[in-house]
Amino acid sequence: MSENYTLITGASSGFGKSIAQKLAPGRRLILAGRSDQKLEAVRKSCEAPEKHILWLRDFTRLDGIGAELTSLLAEKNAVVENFVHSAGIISIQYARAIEMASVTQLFNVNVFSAMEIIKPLVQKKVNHGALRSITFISSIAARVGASGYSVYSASKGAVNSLSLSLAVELAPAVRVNAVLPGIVGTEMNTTHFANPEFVEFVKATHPLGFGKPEDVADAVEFLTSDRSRWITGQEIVVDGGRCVFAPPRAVAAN
Amino acid sequence: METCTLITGAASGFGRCVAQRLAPTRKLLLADINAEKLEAVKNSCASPEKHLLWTRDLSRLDGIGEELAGLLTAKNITIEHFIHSAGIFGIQFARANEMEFVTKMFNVNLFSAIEIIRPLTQKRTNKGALRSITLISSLNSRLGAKGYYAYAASKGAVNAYALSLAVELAPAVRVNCVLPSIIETEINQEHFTDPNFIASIKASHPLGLGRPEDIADTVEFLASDRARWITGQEIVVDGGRFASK
Repeated sequence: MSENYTLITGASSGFGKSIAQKLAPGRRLILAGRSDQKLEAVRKSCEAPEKHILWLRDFTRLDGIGAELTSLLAEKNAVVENFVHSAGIISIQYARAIEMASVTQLFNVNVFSAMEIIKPLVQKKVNHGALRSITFISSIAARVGASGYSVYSASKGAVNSLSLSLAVELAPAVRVNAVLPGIVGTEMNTTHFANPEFVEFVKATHPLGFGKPEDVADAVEFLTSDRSRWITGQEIVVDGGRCVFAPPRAVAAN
Repeated sequence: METCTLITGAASGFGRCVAQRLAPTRKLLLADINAEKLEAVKNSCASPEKHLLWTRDLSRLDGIGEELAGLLTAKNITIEHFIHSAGIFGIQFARANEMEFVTKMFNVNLFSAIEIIRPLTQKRTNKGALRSITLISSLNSRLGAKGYYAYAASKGAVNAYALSLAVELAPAVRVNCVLPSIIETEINQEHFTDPNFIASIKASHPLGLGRPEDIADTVEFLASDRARWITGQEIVVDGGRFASK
């Protein structure tokens, strides 16, 4: 008899770590990431660490992702019931100096690796029809423009649209949704948050104040539970009001 | 002074289901036009003796705010969460528009909420207790359908209202909408007796038929601290209808 797991990519830091800690008490987790040490530390910080499995993997490379996951599931006698794609990288790229190699890398992690992971998860011979939900960590960057963010925004827009069509393709067995966080302080942007001007900007543009990784984890927990059993193909924005708010400087410009 | 969750339209449909879901952990103020059904809902809730009733016709706007303010004083309560589930529905064709009915629909679906929120955001009345507003909107605010323009307009108005109110009331109060697709409730029961209608609903909802509990689950989430950084949003609960349209 195989055990049901929730697979979380990008679990060694940021939202992924927070999601792992939030879900650990009620579930068995497969924590995926590229840093052995960090991943192990997250596992130990979770409730019942012995229950959880690690999957060391660099998602900037796509080759073999599906095969690797397939053999991991077979070896551990595991199936994946919920998949949370929190792996993501950001790189500021200006149009005049776009480097295609880093664009590809960014899309590999943010978008394509998820496709490679989902493939075996929806194959009956591999995952035995166990999959129930897919939750992508997207970003409000797919809705709010910012200079230097075009590539990152594009990758998150791709995730949203991927989620939309997958929701239709995989219904009714699997629900597929995206969470779009506002700017939240994580390992990914500590250098930004060291700048008082940036902190002031975030404060001024998020009407509910600063967000926490736990706010994103709360939404993910909801979306991967039966409490959202009739929600699919949706973009859930968790941004402290950022998207609905016209910042004062925009008003002044009018 | 005790703090309550106010639910309008609580005597039936989504409102009743939300009431039953929240009752075990909260004190509720249940509002509806129908006193008898309201009493029955209260008795169906966990610890019925805890909850309060407010019988009120929300299609008339005059005095709503004063009545609510008076009730809060008389019962020595404040409102922490407001869920506007009161709503009426009606088919209207442009060539035969009845303005009186349109007005009535806007009164219940939107304007009554505006009147209710006024005292709830006044410090002398509600002592700054308000934390969240959740408005039950509809997927019809995003999808066109013949005969639905008036209803759709009222729900589109609700969505846009929530958007600006979210900015105005932040950071103390969060404001969000829930947009359900069609779910069987008292409001549309007669349609659900027709097998062809049920078949068409099944065909257009990839996850199958929805239940009022699905809406209550989302409302519970939005009216809790688990949604503490979510405001100004339209949360669609539609079994994949919108994604597959």
